[in-house]
Amino acid sequence: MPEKKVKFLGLFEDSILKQGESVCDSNCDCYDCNTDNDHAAEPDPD
Amino acid sequence: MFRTLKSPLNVQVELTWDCPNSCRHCYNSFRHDDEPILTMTTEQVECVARELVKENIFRVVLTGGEPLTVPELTVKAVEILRSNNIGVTINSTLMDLTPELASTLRGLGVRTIMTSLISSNPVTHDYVTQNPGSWQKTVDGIKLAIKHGFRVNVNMVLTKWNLHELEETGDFVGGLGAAVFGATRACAPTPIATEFSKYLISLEELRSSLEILYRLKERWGYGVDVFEHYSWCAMKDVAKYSHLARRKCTAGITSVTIGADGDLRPCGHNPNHYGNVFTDGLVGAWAKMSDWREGVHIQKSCTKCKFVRQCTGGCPVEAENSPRGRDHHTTGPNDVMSLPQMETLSSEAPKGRYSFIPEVVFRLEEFGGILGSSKGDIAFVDEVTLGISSDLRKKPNFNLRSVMSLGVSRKDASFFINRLVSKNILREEKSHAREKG
Repeated sequence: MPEKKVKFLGLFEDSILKQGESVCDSNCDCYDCNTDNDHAAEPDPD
Repeated sequence: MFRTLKSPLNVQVELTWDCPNSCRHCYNSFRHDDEPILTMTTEQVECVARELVKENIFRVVLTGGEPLTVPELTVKAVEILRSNNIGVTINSTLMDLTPELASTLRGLGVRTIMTSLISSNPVTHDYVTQNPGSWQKTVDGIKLAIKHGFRVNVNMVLTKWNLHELEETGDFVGGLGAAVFGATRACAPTPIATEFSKYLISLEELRSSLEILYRLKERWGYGVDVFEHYSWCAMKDVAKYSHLARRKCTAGITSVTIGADGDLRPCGHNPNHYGNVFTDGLVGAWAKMSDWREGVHIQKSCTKCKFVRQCTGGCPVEAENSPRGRDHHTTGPNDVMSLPQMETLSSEAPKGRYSFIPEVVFRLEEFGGILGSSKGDIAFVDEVTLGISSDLRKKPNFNLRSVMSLGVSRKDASFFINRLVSKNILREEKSHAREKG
């Protein structure tokens, strides 16, 4: 069986999160945790 | 430039354009022009809510106008959305909150409400809202909401009218017991942008407001926020304000606003309409907003900035309304003196057993899919990783070896688990003893 590669993507068409770099915060352009809705409170934490 | 999602992740729904206040800074264009003040019918609210459920929207903000002027519509929307596990927050003046309504909304699973308090000074507040007595009603509403267990986020919209009262307002809000205090710059409302510009705070005032906000955080221990995206060059010390830097302009990319007329707009500020949810459906109208995914509206002077991918630049509506064609708080990359603090993902092999959180949603997309929930984060994955996730979801729980057994290397399997745990999409099973790696 060929090895399966895990890929977490960003919202930019060319962005792929690199392993071990960060948990994708605002210093990362992969954007997938940068989805907080403007003009809104954060979602319920629990 | 940006991936096109089949539908947004977050949606703001303006149930009504009616509001007891007439805030001088209100960003809703319909509050400043001759458009009729519309309110959705019950059938329209049901239609919108069903669309949001059908298209796997993760989070919804019920807003207006003032959504609590139409409590039956707000409750109807919450009932449909919460019963389908969609996260709901409400933006409200809280002037019309009653104990009965508070109990109903809490019972349906609404936890967070955002409200606006213009100042701790009633005179300033009522001057800006143009509604005598509104300060007292909002303060009473905040107290009532906190008493009923809501997490209340209080936002102060900053203008020349109230900036000098920021610190004392933060102290006042701390005394009320709010969970979060926000101090967010006003943007010029589109229909009156030119005449309003003299009331906008300056760049120096914006930076000073951030310093005050973080002083208040130290003093009161509450969360602080700005409820709009600030460009990195405006913030300057981005490392210090990492929490604020998480917000990006997501208009038309991950989020959208549905007006009381059913029209889709990229965000609440933006008066431009792209299709109608009642006639085109959410997906049909969303598809018409492709210019936002193409980056067409990114402020021209920001497009060459080395930080634009992370920052997304100044507010496009501000830029459009400005005679200089740019958000007046943007300067350029030389002002970015530090970068956001990074949280490093663990590189250790996970040793526990894991399962997907029960409310996780797998949403198919052209590029693969989205894993997410109403209360956790969101992860975009390619088709192969979505397949791995789907296989693992069928199991009651799994460990590192289970992932590897699907043909994934140890390194990738660790990455998969650690990343999804960090995003609260996977959880470690507490009942299982940790295993040897």
